[in-house]
Amino acid sequence: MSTPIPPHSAPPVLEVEELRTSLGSRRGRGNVVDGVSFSLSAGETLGIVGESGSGKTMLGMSLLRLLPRAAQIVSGSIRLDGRDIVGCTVAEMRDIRGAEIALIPQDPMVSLDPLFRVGTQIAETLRAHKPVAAGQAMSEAVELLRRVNIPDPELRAQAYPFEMSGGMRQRVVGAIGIACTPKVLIADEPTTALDVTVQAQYLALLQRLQRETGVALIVITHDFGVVAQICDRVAVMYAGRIVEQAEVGRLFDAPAHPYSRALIEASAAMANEGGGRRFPSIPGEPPPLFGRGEGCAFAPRCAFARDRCRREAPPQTSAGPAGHAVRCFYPLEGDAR
Amino acid sequence: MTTASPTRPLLELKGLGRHLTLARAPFSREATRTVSILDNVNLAIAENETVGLVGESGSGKTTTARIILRLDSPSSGQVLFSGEDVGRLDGRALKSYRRNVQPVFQDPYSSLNPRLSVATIVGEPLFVSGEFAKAERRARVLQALNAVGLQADALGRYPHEFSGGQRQRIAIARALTLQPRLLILDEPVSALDISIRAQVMNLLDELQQRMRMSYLLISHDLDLVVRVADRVEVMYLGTIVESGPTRSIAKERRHPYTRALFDSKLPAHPRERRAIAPIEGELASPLNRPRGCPFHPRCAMATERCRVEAPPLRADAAGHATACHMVEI
Repeated sequence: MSTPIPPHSAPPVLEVEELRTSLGSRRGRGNVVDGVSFSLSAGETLGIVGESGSGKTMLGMSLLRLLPRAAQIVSGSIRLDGRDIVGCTVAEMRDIRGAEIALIPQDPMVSLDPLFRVGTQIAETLRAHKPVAAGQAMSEAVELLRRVNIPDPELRAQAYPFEMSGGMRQRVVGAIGIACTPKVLIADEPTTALDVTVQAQYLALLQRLQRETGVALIVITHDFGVVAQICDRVAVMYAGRIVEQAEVGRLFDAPAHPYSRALIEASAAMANEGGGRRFPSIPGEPPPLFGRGEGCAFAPRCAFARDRCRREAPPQTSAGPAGHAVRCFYPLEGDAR
Repeated sequence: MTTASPTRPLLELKGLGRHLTLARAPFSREATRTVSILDNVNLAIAENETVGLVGESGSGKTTTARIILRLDSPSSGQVLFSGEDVGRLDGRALKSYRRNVQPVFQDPYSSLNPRLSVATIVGEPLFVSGEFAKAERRARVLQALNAVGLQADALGRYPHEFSGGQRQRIAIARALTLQPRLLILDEPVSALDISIRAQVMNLLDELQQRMRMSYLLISHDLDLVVRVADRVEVMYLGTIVESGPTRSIAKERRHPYTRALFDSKLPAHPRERRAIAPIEGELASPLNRPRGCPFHPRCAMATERCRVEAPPLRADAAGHATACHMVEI
């Protein structure tokens, strides 16, 4: 295990407090991000894990202020290097996005423009934030391609996205992400579009880029393998809330929330070659966005739920060592395995 | 590949090949090219057995499934079902084959028609077979829904009203209505969340035990395949590079590609973190298929011989076969 960075060893570059984002539709209105708080220091990697519908992508989009029309941030703050960007105007955000907080989107097949050469697309990002001439931007783009391990970068800068393999396209969007050396980089499901052997290569690349630039990395994923491989800290999301936050080794060894524990057990069981044919599963399904009840959102699926869990939502409390926090009235103790 | 099994397999692929002829570009002087998608694939599935087919995207897994389902036809080789050549079936015999071999696809969001009710979706195979009266169809649909853990109130509802896991249950119910002997499961859980994956895999296991079906489980997820399959076939660029009993494959990992697949698995715990990526490069395009062994450009052990001569798939006495010059049998 690489040395984890202890919480608050450096001043945080990103501080999110009580963030609430609501989404409206004909069927009603609900909080897709519901009172989320965390902070992140330079050089640190935070994993945000959750299943589909948990709000992890909406949280990422809230941080970038790239929410769809139907969704708005209703309360809370996002301090990027001390400045609250919740109140920033559209024009201010355009300067901040890409330069100070950047995104590596999920599917490079969709996020790259099929009509432009990849070198041009990288240069475009550079020129949007820096007063550089076209020729200069292009040679910087070639340099970025070299840094993300694209062979023959001069030649490849002239290629169109369709001429590249999936793994190469993923590295191109990585290059766009780090182009303006942002302070915070959000990687949304960095491995789902990739094959197994290429996943390992890409995660190794992300780690190297982080070491070189000192960027604070947020990895949004549903895969505990990704968390185990590259994250220092983890936040587990369920129904819009962070139900548990901890240093990565601590979360795997002693998860305090019944949901985190069930998820870790379910994914460990999938990876266990000698485990027989039955898989431990979590009964039921995640709650719908509209009409979530008063109590803990996980209570209907929780084996340990009592009456209080169904009536009140549990506040965040400390679960042992510094930096380990949980939202559960009856947190688990002891080792998961 | 020769297995020691004395009984005839339920399904057998013999020397299966699939080539595509590429259209010539307008005004081009180049001759038309043929591209090989599958090359000499041999595979057997016994009664009540689960065979796992693993490989990365572009390896030919889905093409194999499409040929078995007769959604595509092979350029060479045969598909045998209970010893009969599937390519020659027509009329009633083909209908009966289709009843015995049913698919479950990866994405339950696109494999269920959003305009049809669950009753119509699940009842469609029965309707198409033309052998069941309305009342019987309804009874069988209900039975299939119950088998996958859904109730009668699902009948009048539409796919959008269900979650991903429930939709995959509906797709499985549809495959079950005709009481098939073989299910082709093409990435059946990769579109689902972790907590739901386990539910669906457990359901498939229960159904197999109860209905004595055979499964062809196609997946890129090595963990999953190793966990549930009796035999594993590892595919690379349209050829099978390693094949054998699951335990033996998981333990010995003879082919360098199989080893790379196992080594590329993400860690289950942060203390098992890897310092470097275990293998470089990506699967080549079938358009520029490497000469010799298809894996040699990425293989650390490759020699001159691997660059010119494709290794044949050779089996040992236990039925564990490997296509690699460097492996002694």
